Amino acid sequence: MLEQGKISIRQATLLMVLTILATAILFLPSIATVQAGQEAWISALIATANGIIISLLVVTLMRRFPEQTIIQYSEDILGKFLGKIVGLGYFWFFLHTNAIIIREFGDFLVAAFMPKTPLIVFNSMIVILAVLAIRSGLEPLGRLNEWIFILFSSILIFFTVFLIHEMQVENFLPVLERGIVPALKGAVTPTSWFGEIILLSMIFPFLTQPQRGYRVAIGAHLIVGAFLLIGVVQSVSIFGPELVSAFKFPIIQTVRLISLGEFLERIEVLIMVIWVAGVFVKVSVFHYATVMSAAQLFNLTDYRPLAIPLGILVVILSIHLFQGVVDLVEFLSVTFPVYALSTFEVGIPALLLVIALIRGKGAKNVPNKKNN
Amino acid sequence: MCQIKKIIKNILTGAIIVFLLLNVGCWDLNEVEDITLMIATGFDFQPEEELISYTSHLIRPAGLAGEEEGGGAPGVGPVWISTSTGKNIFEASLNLAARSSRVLFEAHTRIIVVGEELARQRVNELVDFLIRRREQRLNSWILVAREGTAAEVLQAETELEDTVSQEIEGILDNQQRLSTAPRVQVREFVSSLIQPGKDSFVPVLEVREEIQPPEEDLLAAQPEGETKKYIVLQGTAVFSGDKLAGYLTVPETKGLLWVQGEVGRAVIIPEKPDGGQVTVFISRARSSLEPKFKEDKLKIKIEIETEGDIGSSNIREDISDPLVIEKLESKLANNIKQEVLLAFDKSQEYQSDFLHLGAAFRREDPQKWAKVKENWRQNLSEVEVEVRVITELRRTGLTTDPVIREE
Repeated sequence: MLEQGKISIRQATLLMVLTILATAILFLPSIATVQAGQEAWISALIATANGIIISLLVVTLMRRFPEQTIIQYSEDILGKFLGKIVGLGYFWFFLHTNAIIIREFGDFLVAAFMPKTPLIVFNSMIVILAVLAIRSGLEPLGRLNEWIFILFSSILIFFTVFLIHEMQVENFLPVLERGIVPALKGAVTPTSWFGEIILLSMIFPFLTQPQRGYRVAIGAHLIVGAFLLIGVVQSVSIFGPELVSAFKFPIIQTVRLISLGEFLERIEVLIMVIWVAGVFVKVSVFHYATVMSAAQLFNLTDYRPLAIPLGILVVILSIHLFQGVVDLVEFLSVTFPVYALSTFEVGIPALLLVIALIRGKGAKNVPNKKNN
Repeated sequence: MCQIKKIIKNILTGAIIVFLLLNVGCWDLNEVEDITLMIATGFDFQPEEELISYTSHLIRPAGLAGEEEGGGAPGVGPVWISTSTGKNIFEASLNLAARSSRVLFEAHTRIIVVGEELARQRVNELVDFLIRRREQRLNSWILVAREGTAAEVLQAETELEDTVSQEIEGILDNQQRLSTAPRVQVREFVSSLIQPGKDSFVPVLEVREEIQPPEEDLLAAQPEGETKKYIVLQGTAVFSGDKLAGYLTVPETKGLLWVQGEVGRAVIIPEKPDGGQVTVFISRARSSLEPKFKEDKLKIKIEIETEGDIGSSNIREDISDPLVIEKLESKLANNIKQEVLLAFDKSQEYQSDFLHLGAAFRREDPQKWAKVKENWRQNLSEVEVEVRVITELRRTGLTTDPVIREE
């Protein structure tokens, strides 16, 4: 085994929650309202439902191979050659998606808070942190994340509590003005974020109780869905759908309105706190998956030596993949959903599951491991 | 193997330490000595030269510092009222750098004054500036300078406060007990500008002149009859799309505020036949719109519920008599109704849906709304409006009867 540590069900759930939520909370209100208008909250619900369907699919696959990661069992299912190709594909998917996330991270900080600081500073900082985190293994990351989750969620709840009096329900009316289609369209991009649950396949063998895998994926999606719903309701009810879709980062504009007796105000810097903390977890999990998949692809005995070189690679990619923020948003909202959902998030896992069923590979029931 | 690892680890640690040492502090450092806080901005458009002028109140550090010992440096006010011009708003704001020794910091702007010409011609540019700029906050107050420029407003003299911007903010707060003007934040302005079936409205600032009475103090040696410019917040500017359509008078403004349910403390005076008056303080107001699509007809029922207290009275009738109170209530209701109808008439005249009736129709039935929304502003004139007002006088102050009774 490459990884000696084990993480509990709760740690895995929270790890998945922050992995999905960290970026979604910032972008979802705006991306969903562009398509769905005042029905963006329905989009959030639909996306959550889609996410649960995806997690049923991928966890069913994972449960057949509780001791292996997707890199390893794709070889079992498809044979050595095709399996390696799929593995290489996943390696690329993790690396590429991670580069996109790092770019989003840096772009947000430059655009919203520090316009004069070069992008590469933020990008390399977050990767250095991620490299340090994963070199100490999955277990410390899981434990650290429990604290980060408390920080993250309490700040979000704090925002909502102080914004309740600004919300106006009439901004949600009329419901389903143009039918259900806009709401469905608005759900496509968020669904691809929920599809990031495929990362669970890289840490699934290291769960203490793999038989409770469904709980991890579905629990994570429900928590993420709840926070996203609150986020959408908050921004749309305060600003109205037209204005929210004009914003790049609606959460900043909403938090700027918080004013408690002209005393507690201008607290939008807290957004930077949740953004840096959340993206740190997200990038760490993605980098862990990248490094782990590379190590397993080449049958290495340790994944740690790969952390730094791949970290450098991902920073370079994050800088050079996109020209500017227009490219990035275009890719994220148009290309990425189709690309990710059709292949690595749903397409390939579904294919693997079907072939595994036909060829009778993997265990039907997860054995109860007692002494691990 | 182990040794190599150790060496790598040491090198990495060393590299990080060096890296951190070289990056002490923050790239986007803005020392407070190098910035100047902007507390109010005025935007003007000069159509002849096609120029935007950008007037701002910048806090003058010296002006504030010595306040306790009697007003800082002599002859220097607490703010510098600076003006710069440019081909567009952003350029105008940048051009100030040629005169300002400090970097402009816009995040403390509380007041945004829009000159009349800009409100007529360049609102789209203003909205873009306010939303795109990182430092601009959407909860600052927006106002229109009527028949004048924003620069004139910001250069007016103050009465109680140190700066005009503080004074405007105070007046915005204080006039709510009069309800002579609405209070509009930038975000409300922009969102009603872009929502279907809504038009924006903004409070109006006017600069007035008054002849200063000659000073008693001979030492002051002030020339007799010097004029003093001061600001008044009164009325509403309404937009049709992104263009200023016209102005509402005070009664029309009150009508608008009734429909918005925002009348805090309007003072209404129902006149009695014998010339007596009763003043009512409104303590609560609520409104609801009930649109109806009849075949070929659009009908809307505006329902307003208010509660009020009697603030003053010089009628000789007995206020403790429920019948008198009832009569007063119906007078008050009629009064409110008239104001709402006045506002609605202006809405049709200016083709500006500042009462947000279209949005109510849209909420009621989006399919039927889709048929009328094309020329909604023209269709406004075909809307039939019915106003129902329910008033309740709850309290009569600390006395009930007229103190001086009829003989």
